[in-house]
Amino acid sequence: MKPRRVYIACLPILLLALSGKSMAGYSSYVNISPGANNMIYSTALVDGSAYPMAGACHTPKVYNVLNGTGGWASGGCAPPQNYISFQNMQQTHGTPGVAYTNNTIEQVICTIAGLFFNTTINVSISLRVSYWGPPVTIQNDLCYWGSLACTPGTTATCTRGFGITFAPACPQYVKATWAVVNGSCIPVPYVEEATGPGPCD
Amino acid sequence: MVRVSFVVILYCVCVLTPSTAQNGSVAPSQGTSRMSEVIDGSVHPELIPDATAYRLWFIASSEFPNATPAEQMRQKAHLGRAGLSDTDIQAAAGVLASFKVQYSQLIAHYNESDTKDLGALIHNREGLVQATRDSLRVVLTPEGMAKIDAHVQREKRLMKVAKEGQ
Repeated sequence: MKPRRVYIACLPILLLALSGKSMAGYSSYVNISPGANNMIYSTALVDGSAYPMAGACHTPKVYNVLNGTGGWASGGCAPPQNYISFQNMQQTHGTPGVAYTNNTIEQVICTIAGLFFNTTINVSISLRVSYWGPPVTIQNDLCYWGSLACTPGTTATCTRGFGITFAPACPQYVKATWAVVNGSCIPVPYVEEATGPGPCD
Repeated sequence: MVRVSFVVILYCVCVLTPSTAQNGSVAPSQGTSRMSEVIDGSVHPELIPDATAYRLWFIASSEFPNATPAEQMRQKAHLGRAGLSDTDIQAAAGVLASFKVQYSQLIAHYNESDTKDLGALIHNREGLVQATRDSLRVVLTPEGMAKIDAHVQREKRLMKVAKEGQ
């Protein structure tokens, strides 16, 4: 690219930059959640736009590997000033007590500038199970269980209490499946009715 | 004028320098942006603007109105992780479907336009995010909305935002 062309191509960028307005730019995010039947869902995304650049083309690429499955996904090449919102979604069936890694890379590649936006977000996740039992109380339509109901010899990792709606009535025992994301138990588990105490981990 | 020219050249040199890292050859441990500084939410979640955090969470947690059962299950997992009850999940799914449709239309119309008014797009985008928050506040229980608010704040730790992109 000749200097004069570079100069002209960059003018819109400069004018926007000097205007003080923060408008262009990309963002990335990874949403990882446990679901029913021990499923784990991961969504990695890149979203945003860039300033115009004559002759350039931007391609979104998102790498999302969850428990060894997944890989790169790529969108189409478009002018930098186009708005990109691109996702790579993966899912896996988890086993309680097993730690999984979710490795992601979110990129926007420019045909002129090369790697234009590049972030890495890695998440560790494991599922942990705890059983809860009586006494059962109801406050503001939420069911609460007053004691852990782990079978002898097992210990719960996530022991925080929680309230949740249940229809038609609060069961005496529930099985709570927690996600431990980057070492922290998420505040609210996935809860299902149980027949009695069970093995916690 | 000389000073402006210098700034132009300096900026362009920074932006247009060819990258040595290409496509899939980047090591997973790398995490930089050529164009701009990136706010790392895992280090400074307080620097991720709320509007950005809600937008990213809405994008990842929304499905189109005709979502397949598998897509609905994924959405239920994402909303359930926020701590929403089944009733609130159903209510939120409707609002988020509307967000998904409008967000897609907003981007499509902008990308297809000849004028590319980015300022207007950002204005409309932020308006849509705020309207979606307002709609959720109407249809969800106060507890449900409080859980979403708290969840989005926690999720900032899994977000990265270019400083220009706030």
